[in-house]
Amino acid sequence: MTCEDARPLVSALVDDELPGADAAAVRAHVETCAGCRGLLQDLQRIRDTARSLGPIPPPEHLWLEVAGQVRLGQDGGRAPARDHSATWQWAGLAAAIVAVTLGAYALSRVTAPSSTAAPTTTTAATDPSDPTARVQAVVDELSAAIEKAIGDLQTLAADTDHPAESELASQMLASLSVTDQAIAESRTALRLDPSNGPARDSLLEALRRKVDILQSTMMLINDLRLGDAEGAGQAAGLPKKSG
Amino acid sequence: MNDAVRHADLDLATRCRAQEPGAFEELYRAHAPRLFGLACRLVGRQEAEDLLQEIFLTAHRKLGLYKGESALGTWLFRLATNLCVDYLRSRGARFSQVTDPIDDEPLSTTSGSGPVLGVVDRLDLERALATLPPGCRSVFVLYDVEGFEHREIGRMLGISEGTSKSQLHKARLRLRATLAGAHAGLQTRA
Repeated sequence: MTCEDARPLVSALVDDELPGADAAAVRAHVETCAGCRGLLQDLQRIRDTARSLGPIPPPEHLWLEVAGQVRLGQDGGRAPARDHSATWQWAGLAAAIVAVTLGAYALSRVTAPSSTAAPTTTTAATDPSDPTARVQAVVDELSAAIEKAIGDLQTLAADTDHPAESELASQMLASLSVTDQAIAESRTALRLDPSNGPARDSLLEALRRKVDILQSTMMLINDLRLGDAEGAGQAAGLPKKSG
Repeated sequence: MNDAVRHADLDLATRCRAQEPGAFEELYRAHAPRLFGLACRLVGRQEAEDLLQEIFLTAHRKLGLYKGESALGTWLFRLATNLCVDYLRSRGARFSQVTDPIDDEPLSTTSGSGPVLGVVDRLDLERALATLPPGCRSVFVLYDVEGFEHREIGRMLGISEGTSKSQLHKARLRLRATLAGAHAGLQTRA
């Protein structure tokens, strides 16, 4: 048996899946060929390490998002028709969603090689011929819209008379920080290279994640306000209150 | 699956369907880490976050179909695998495509004498895994990490058993080449 014959069979030998005669022939070749013996040893090491790869704990905010969407699904996709005047309208969140959507478009135009002026609503005084400044302006605007929505949530957590709302808002605020590092790294990368596509995608993904969490928060808080305190609290993983 | 496990799984599924407080969270906490690991390795971490949500929302909708024929973890795992595979297909992955221009590269560049790897670090392997094309990566994850047989993998991915074996071989060779390159880079810097 030659190396050319043996090498395609080494993987099957690692898995003990070769018929007896073939296995014996490959083993005999490997005994005399250092290259194929090295290949066999390496593939065994790769397989052994692969078998030791374990579960990966998901970030905590994913449970909050799943719980929020399950609640939404149980309501048939809309809030029950009870006291709608009590629901939290939260204009700041709507502004953040619009900003991220517009920002995605604006950033793609700013970072495109032959881009023209991006149709962003930014009011910052920037040099239109300087891509670094334009990217900076768009990113600043996106961040400001999201910070405004987060500020609304912080205000709610501080001002509400309902302990369950305050607790829920505080828990969600903690979840919002999970993407901070990714946002900071992407912003730094874009500052250095405004045409860095992966950094732009990563930034938009992290900002979108924040908006998702904010949307889940709004829905759960509205559950509370509509009188389904137990459901909203359970969905967010809050301890059950007595009385 | 023994009777006690089957009974516990059916009980949990029933409590979830009845929307008993805490039941669905119990299901999530028990199974999310394994399913998230699968999704991260098949589609990448960022997409895995979206897919994990889809997996549990689909599970929530379909729990009525769970009759206890298999363990609840197995049922969820198959559902998760199907969603990941559908996602990869939607992104243009071809599981049966086993040849491309760099297929032979690992063989020619690592055919020297002796092993080229030392102990394979888990983090290094996770990083190298992320560089594989979706087809052979999926087979490697399902066979080497998750322990499925080629026949089952063929069914899940819609490929023949022989193709599954070929993809596994390609995946291992590519991983060896990638890990050897990283190892050589470290030695050069040291």
